[in-house]
Amino acid sequence: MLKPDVRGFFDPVTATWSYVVWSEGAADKKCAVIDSVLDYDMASGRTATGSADKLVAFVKQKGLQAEWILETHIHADHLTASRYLKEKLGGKTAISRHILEVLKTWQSVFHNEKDTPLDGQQFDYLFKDDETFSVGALEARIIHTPGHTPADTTYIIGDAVFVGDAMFLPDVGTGRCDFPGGSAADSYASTRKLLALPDDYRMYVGHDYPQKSNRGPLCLATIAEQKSANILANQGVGRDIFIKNRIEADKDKDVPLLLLPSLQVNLRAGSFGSSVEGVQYIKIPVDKI
Amino acid sequence: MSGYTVIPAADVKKIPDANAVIVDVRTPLEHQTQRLLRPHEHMPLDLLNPKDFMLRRGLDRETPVYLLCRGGTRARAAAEKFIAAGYPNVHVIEGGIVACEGCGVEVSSAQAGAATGTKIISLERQVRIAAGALVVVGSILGYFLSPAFYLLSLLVGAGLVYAGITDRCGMALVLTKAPWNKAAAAGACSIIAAPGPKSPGGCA
Repeated sequence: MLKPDVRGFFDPVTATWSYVVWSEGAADKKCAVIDSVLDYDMASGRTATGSADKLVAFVKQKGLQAEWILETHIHADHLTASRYLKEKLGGKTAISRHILEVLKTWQSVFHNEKDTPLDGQQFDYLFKDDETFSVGALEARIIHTPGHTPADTTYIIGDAVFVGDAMFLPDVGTGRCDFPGGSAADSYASTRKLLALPDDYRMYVGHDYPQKSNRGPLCLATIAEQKSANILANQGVGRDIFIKNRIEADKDKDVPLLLLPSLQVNLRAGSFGSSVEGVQYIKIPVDKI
Repeated sequence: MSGYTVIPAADVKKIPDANAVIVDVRTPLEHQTQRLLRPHEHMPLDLLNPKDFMLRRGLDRETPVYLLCRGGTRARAAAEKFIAAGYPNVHVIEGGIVACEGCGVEVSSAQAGAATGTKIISLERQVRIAAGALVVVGSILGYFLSPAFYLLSLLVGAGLVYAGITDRCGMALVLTKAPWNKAAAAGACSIIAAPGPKSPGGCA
């Protein structure tokens, strides 16, 4: 099996890991970008591309060609830079077909269906569960790993597993399950699915929260390490205990600072949508969250 | 196989934050006492596994690696490890953090044990205490037991002269492996200049 090279980019503001995935061993120079970040300041409504530009510079410097711009799920805590990256690097934006459920869920809150089509056509491609695809010569597939949101998916590219928020590093645990459509029971099933992968597969996480453990940000743990050491979801944790602990941990959690702009922009595949006299807006629904 | 290059400490100012990594390979105690103010990673030399270190930080094979210690000796040993592991872009910061401080690279002011409140005395003082104790023991045993023990005092004395002239101290290297010098900070950490996640309510 061809093993991918992975370059991670950590955004300290939202604690997000974005990835560029390619293979030095392949003759092609194709790459995939996973879970990019568009910088956004809530107070001023200003965007910036500092985080995305690091990624663009890397892809260009390496002479890679973006084939895919992937999202593991509709992020609730940061805005995707997928649209910006597509302009700069090319490639197809893609996400799981399960986001159609998420589009429907939020339609009643934002009423943005005019510029946020409910059929998902704003994305270049929608994956079916377990669909296989390729990144250049690398073999890839997508599996459904819901729990954090109903549309969370994991991309398995060679021996690298990009789990988004389905699991975090062993000392951090797993993604919260208190968003609409989230489910601790689903999350448990997803963790079992991931832990069933080969022990030496590399699991790359979508966020890292290192301040909890007095260390720097890291992006990877092997499946074997997750099995033995994940504080919430190791091999020995039973379903009932996981659900109890997860619900306990999610009690009274703050709403992510960027939740409202993130959802609206991410559901549009990175666009701020239609404008009035050239001005684009973020809606703030009152008493709906 | 290509080797590593050595850069002057003043060039630390030119290393970009993005797409390069500075690794401080000193002990946790030394790092806690005084360190670079700019973003860098900390991984003690004896715990350093280059491939594992790079993979877990999402760094690729060609990312430039800059190694830092107190005076340059351990950074060279760390650079050998990176070269042996197949990394092509490896650099040693000549003169270590001492030289950095000397040429205006921003370094935190020295404060032993202040960060955690643990009272660990500095490596420099540990060396003085250990060397002094060995001289005293050598002299006492030499007087009462056998003149052969004077050799111990002689050796320590010669070692201190050598350490003073070359700025390489074997005893300090041995002392860095002592458990109390490792306990200061658990494992490795990295220092990021940005304020860190400030948005309340992440996804964990």
